[in-house]
Amino acid sequence: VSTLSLCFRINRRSGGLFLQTKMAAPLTLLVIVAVTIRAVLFRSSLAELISERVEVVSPLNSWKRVVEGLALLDLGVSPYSGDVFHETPLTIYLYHFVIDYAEIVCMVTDGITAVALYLAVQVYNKNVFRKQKYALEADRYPHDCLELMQTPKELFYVPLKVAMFYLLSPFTILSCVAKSTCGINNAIVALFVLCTIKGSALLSAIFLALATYQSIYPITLFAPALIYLLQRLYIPVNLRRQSFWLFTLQYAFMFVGSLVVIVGLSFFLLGSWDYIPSVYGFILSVPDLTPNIGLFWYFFAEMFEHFRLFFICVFQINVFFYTIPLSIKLKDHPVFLMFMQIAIISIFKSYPTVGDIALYMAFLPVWSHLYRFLRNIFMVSCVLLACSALFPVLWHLWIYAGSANSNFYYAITLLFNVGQVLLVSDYFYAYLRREHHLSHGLYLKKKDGSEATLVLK
Amino acid sequence: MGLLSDPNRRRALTNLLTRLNTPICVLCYLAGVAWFMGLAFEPFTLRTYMSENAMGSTMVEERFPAGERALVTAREFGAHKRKSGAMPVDWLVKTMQSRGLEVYTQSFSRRLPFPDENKERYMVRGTNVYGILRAPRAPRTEALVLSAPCSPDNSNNQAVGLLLGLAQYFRSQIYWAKDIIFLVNEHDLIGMQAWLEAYHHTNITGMDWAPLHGRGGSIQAALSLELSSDVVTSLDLVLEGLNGQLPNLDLANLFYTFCQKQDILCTIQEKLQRSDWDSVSGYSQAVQTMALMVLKQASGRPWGDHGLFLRYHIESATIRGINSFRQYKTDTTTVGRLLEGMFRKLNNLLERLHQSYFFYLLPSLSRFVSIGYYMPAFGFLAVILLLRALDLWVQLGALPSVTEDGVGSRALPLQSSSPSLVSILTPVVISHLTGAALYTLPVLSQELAVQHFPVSETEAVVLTAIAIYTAGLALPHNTHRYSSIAKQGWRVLKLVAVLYLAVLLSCTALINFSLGFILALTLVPVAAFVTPHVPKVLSAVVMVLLAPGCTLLYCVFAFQELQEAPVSLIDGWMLFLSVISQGMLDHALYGSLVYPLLALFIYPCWLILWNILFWK
Amino acid sequence: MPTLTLASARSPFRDEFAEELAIRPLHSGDIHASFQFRTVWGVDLLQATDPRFLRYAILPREIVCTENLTPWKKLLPCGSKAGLAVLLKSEKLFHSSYFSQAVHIRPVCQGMHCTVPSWEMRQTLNVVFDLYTSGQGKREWSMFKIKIYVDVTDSPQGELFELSPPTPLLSQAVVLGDRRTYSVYDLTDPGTFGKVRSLNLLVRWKADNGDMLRPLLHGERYVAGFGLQTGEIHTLIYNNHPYRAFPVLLLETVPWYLRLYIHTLTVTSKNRENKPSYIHYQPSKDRLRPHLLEMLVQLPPNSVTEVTVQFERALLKWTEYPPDPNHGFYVGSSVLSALVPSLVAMDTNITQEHPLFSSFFLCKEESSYFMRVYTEPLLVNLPTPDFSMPYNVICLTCTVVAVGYGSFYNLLTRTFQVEEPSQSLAKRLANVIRRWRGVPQL
Repeated sequence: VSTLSLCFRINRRSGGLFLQTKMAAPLTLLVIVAVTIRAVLFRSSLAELISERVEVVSPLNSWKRVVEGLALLDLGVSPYSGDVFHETPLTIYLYHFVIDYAEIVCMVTDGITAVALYLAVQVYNKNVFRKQKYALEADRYPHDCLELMQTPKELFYVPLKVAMFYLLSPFTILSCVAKSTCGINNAIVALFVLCTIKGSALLSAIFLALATYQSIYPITLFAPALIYLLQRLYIPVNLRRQSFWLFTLQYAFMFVGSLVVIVGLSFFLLGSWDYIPSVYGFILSVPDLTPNIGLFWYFFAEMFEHFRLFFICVFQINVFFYTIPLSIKLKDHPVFLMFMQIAIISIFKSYPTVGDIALYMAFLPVWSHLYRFLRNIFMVSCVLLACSALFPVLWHLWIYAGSANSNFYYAITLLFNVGQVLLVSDYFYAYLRREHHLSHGLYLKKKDGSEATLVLK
Repeated sequence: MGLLSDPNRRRALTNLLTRLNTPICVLCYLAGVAWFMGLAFEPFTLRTYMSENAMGSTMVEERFPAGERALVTAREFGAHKRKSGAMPVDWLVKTMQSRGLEVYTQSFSRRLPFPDENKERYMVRGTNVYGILRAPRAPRTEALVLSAPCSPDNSNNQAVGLLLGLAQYFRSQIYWAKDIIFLVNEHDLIGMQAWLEAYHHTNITGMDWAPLHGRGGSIQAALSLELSSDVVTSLDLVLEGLNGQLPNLDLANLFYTFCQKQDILCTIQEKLQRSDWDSVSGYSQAVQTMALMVLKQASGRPWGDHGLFLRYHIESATIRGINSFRQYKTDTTTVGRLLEGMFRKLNNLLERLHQSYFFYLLPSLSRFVSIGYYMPAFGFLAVILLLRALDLWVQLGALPSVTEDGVGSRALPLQSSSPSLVSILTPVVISHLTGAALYTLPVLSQELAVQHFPVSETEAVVLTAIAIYTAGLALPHNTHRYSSIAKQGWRVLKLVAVLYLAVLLSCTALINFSLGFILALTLVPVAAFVTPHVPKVLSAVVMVLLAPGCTLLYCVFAFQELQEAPVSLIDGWMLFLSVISQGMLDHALYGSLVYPLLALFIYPCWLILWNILFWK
Repeated sequence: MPTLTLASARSPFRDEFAEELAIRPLHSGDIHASFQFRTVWGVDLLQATDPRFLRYAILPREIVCTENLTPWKKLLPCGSKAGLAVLLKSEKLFHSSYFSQAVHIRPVCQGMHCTVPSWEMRQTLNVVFDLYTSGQGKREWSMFKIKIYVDVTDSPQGELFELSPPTPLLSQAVVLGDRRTYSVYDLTDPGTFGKVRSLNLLVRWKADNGDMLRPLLHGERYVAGFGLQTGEIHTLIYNNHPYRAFPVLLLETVPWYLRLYIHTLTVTSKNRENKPSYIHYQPSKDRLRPHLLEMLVQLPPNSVTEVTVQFERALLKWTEYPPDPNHGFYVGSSVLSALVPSLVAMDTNITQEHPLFSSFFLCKEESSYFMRVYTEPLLVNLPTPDFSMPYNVICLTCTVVAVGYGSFYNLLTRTFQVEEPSQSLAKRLANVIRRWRGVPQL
């Protein structure tokens, strides 16, 4: 144990600057490759096709609707007077300036997200490594757990893998080529993650407020951010401590304050409140039943009118109510909690697109040390791969050939969402299992001394 | 969720599957083939029935009287066609106008990527003539189409004559609720594509068309007529359209019902109906009919002018008159009455045809096999690929002797357990580049080839394609020198290839079941059994014999056999070359997907498997 | 329907009724017959509403049939028992190729000073009898029995068609900017009838049909594109005037489930862009109101103007589809309103001797007349969900949500424990027997 910890110490000292220069070249290469792929696709005839795909754009983030909203503004009609435009007022002004450079802006936001995730994961890995080192020196782990330790070599490449998973993921590329505004939302969430992990409470609150302002669901990220910042300041998460409440109120005040400022600014920009029913009312009440990869559209297309409000509430609460139980279970692991929250939002939100999925999938390399405990990874990846390939085929058969009907597309949607749920819960299982082994030892024996298997009871 | 979470049961099932993998694969393959052959067996098929209520009974009284006059018009048309050499546009316009239709013409032109055998030149120009019968007091929202092609030689004159005769008869009736468009198109499919693209104002294939001035609203159904003789002995129904799309089965049911009412012999795949389907000869005829339909559907080309309507979600079929040596002959008046009856029924439609099946196979006109019955045949073949993938995954995971549960000692703690994905990227990329070359180079390099070799452009294109295809076989021997974990790299590559093939074949089978099934028949055994450890020479020969190119060759020979017109080897080879050129032309002219699918996806997949065979 | 009462003693004006029939033989061999009935009441029937509000409603799916004709005939003072209305036999009328009936109610001025309010109800019925369906292809048409005007402008010396019995009475009027000559048969004059107490009007065409007449302004509309996701509405406006350009007001109401993208609106004339001088657009609100687009477009002379706009088709709730959802949904006609410059100056002196059909639309400008053209309605298919599946869909989707919930619940509430394998039933039974026998257990 001591020799291993010595190795780790030497490696840490020689890191730092060396690490950064060594990683700059592959990162630049990655960015160049990503930009090239996107540029090639922008110039091809596929760009038009991709920007109409319902899996990639939804009524909330379609670029065509942004252009439509700006055209309405030019005609002197409020973009919120119709039911086509559902972007927030601050973003109207952003798009107004960049409408001619939309492609460059999309590539830049993808770059910002990738770099933010890269830096965030780098800092997080440093923290993880340091904690692991201290725990090893304090001899807190059972002796057979050394295999479960993360080596510096593994941790070295993880940030690059995260950036690669985001930039080169087909989902992200499709989302960028379609000029979906999901890229901007992802960038804001990534910046929020970066600021939280770096420990800046004010910036984290501001970005969280921006993310919530864009689409309501990121408000659930308040809990993991709070827990992480508390942990960083060594304030124990205990409801009876005054320091806990002091910091919580401070953070909440910063968050609510920024949100109020942003909402007020939107009001003053357009002079009316009618963006609230058009944006937030739309997200929460799901009036538009355009097919997408989520569960809401067909469910509410076939819903009995009498129960519609009830099930809207049930489905919306479903997104929010995992926060408290997950926070209680994962209160010592706030970054994993953040990943789980982002995943739950991407799966269960009212208008999901592949851009949302790309964001949480970018985090998967951070948990690559859990690989040995994943149970269903092969089946789940096959299901996700097959469904991604079958989406356009069944859409074509329904909408263009007219031979299939909506049930085929709906079935693939169900299968895709089941696959995603199994993926996330598999990672959750693996994470909890590793924690269990770290506290109870890796090779467990039954009462009679033979090899044991672990089950959940 | 017990199976997914209980480690004991998972381990037991996985062990079972890995131990019995090969026997299960062989069993599944045989089951798939047997299931397919059993589809045509009479007790397993369902009788066809009319699903659409609006077309339920045949209680219309057909009164079309003017068959002879139609033949006179046909002879006039033939004479004018011979005189002008191309379509007699002015005569057609005048004739249609005198029958009270609103007549419009449309000119179009198209530059072919390479001139095929029929049209010796690059540029094809033509004119379509169509007349609209406006339904009285109706708001021009729906239309029906009756079309007859204007063929350059002496065929299809009677079709145009009958079309004009029907136009005259229909014009004096008061019961039409939908507009009827009578269309005479030049250059067969090219003219039809130009008309349809102009009608829907789209430009999918790069055709140059003049805009249409008259429209009838949204087209509900279309019938195409091919009639080349004064009397017919039977009427053949052609259903297969572009990319293997089929019209709604109700259209076939409608045709069959009216054939029975008018007492006309009707055929499908030019095979007569019989009454003893459960005898051995009956079964063999059913299998032949079904196999012909499968081969025609797999080719992805439209087998009649109706084939292009299906893309626009317009149900359409072609009725072809056949004059063979039979005693019982049907005259033109009866054929006209059949068409009148069908149109009156289509006039009654309240909704688009949607009640009956869109995916089916027809062993005969009175029996059908729906998708729920034929898909398991493909499913058995796809399961083989999934079983193989599972087997490979377990083998890959078992290398460091890790148990299924995730806890176990690792033999190589410092080295990464799975070979990196980068090492297998090279063969994949090279295979796809070869596929891309196969897709783009033949047409692009025809000029170069014609300069250097004494062949025509068509032959140049086809021979370049075959050359690239064969050159791909020589490629993969040197691509994997650099991988250090070459020993197990082939497993990862095979896993990727098997999953890729499974997804590809599933997507193909959903769009065009026949194409997916035929490709699965030959590619699945190859994918399942190829490893670097099988005897190289024998496996190489087997792989080449089961390659996509040879599959196409076998299909050509089988098609000729089934049509009772067997060909010799030389003729078969020439037919094979013409099929390749036709496939490329179909892709360029109408957007058929068979050629890009084979060149860009199936062939690279086969190349990856070929690569695995020669893995060192 | 308020009862007709005599006007009060204050006003000297009495109620009156007039009817007439105008027949116009067309070049193609069809006959256009136009019935006009005018009832004027000298009372103030109802309070006028604010003239600034225009309410526009359309039922694109409904087709006119005998069920509409019967109540329409009942609006006439004598119903269908006397007058020209006797000629309106449903069977003959619906053997035509074009049929249109209308009711217009408006306040009119009586006299120059407009002191007395009176209300006018005009009922018009226009029929085009088809050469092929009613005439069996023979180029002659006859109809018998009030004032009948026959338009002989196109054949003043009888070269296009021959009218029998001949009549010396001729009258001229300007209709739709065109000066036309009419032969008049006055049925109130017994001299018209001759010995037989019925009039049989016969029109026999001499020559073959000439070229088709083209109106100065007409429009067409169609849906371009295929598939159930997007589409494009193309409206073609034809200006057939040889040298005059004039503006036209285009009004389109598109239902909310075809979401229009106004930034894709293009107007082209003669392959060049033609920017409209005025656009008013009110976007739709889902399930509340349709799109309203109004544009003022200048039409160059002798040209075709094409207005295109892209739309996206929405998926509706299953209860919002009609019983035949695969038929499609109707989009109402667009309305083209224009002051078309006429080729002839119009006489603004309104006297009672002018035919009814020429004095309906008055306009101050001498050289143009008002015309309103309706294009054809469109039939558009929308994607449909499967209507037989509500329970299945609810169950399956809730199952997927439950799978997520169940997985998370398990992981949140349970902990890892070492598993003690439980013995199977057979083993337990064997152990019991062994214990009883005194032999060591499995």
